[in-house]
Amino acid sequence: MSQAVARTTERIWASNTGLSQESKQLFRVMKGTRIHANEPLSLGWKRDLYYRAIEIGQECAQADWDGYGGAAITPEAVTRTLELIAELPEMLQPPHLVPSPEGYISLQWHDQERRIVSVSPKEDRLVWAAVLSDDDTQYGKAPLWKGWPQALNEILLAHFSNVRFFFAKS
Amino acid sequence: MSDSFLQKVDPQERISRYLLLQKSFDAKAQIVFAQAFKPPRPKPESPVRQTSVYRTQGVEENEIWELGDRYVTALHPKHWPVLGRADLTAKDVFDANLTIVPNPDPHPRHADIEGWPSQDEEIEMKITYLARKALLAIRS
Repeated sequence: MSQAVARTTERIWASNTGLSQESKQLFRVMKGTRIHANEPLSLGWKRDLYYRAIEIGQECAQADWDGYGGAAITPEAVTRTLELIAELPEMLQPPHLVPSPEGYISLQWHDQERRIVSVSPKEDRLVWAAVLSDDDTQYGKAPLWKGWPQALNEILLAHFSNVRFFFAKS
Repeated sequence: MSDSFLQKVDPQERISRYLLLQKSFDAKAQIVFAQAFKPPRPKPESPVRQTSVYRTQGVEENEIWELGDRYVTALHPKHWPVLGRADLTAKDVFDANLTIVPNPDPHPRHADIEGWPSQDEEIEMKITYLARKALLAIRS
């Protein structure tokens, strides 16, 4: 994979997108460029996940891959997953990748306290749910082109970060 | 088997979802993935979303697997073997605001989880909740 070496000002990325299809497409291209430019030389766990997503795409490329009439996971569905992985902060724990009978690949985080976050990139939207305790469940959806929703990012960073912050009592 | 067993689902009953796909669980981490509970999209021939389960309370361990062999694998279009199962209590299902409807076809212990919402994100939340409560049993 080539590595872009670029230095940009945040101002370039800060513009909001318009509502037309062209604007959304341009926003996606700029977002992809920004992610690529900021990628570390070592992809760490992301490289493994990229390979795993492609592998799942190959294993589930035919309809009925689950024996119960599951929809095929298309190259477009794999690409959606790859884009989401690329946007994940490095400091997060890697998610599990799970094929869905509806033709996409879900990302799932589990921890030892049985907290679970499940994120499903469907054709045009991101559907997610977080079950942090029996009484603390959150869920939502967002247009896929907007990337990771802020609320979801906060949950992931709070519960599934590889980096732990400790504050000393004064 | 009494009629009361067929009709009334006790909250403390064990409910088992047979797992035929390696991709539905992680044996090492003892995790059942939420997708294992995903009800198929409604079709004209089955307009209600349902997740097929078995009521396995009081059934010996080897008989539970036998039930899977005879009524899941044997009826599966490709006869895939049962690799494991996700065990819940009926209460876990009720707590997710879902119902368990006895459906004695192909076996008196067969049932369906129903009451799925129509919104995708609400379904995502419910299958994630069930995954949190599920205990993974791997076939040895």
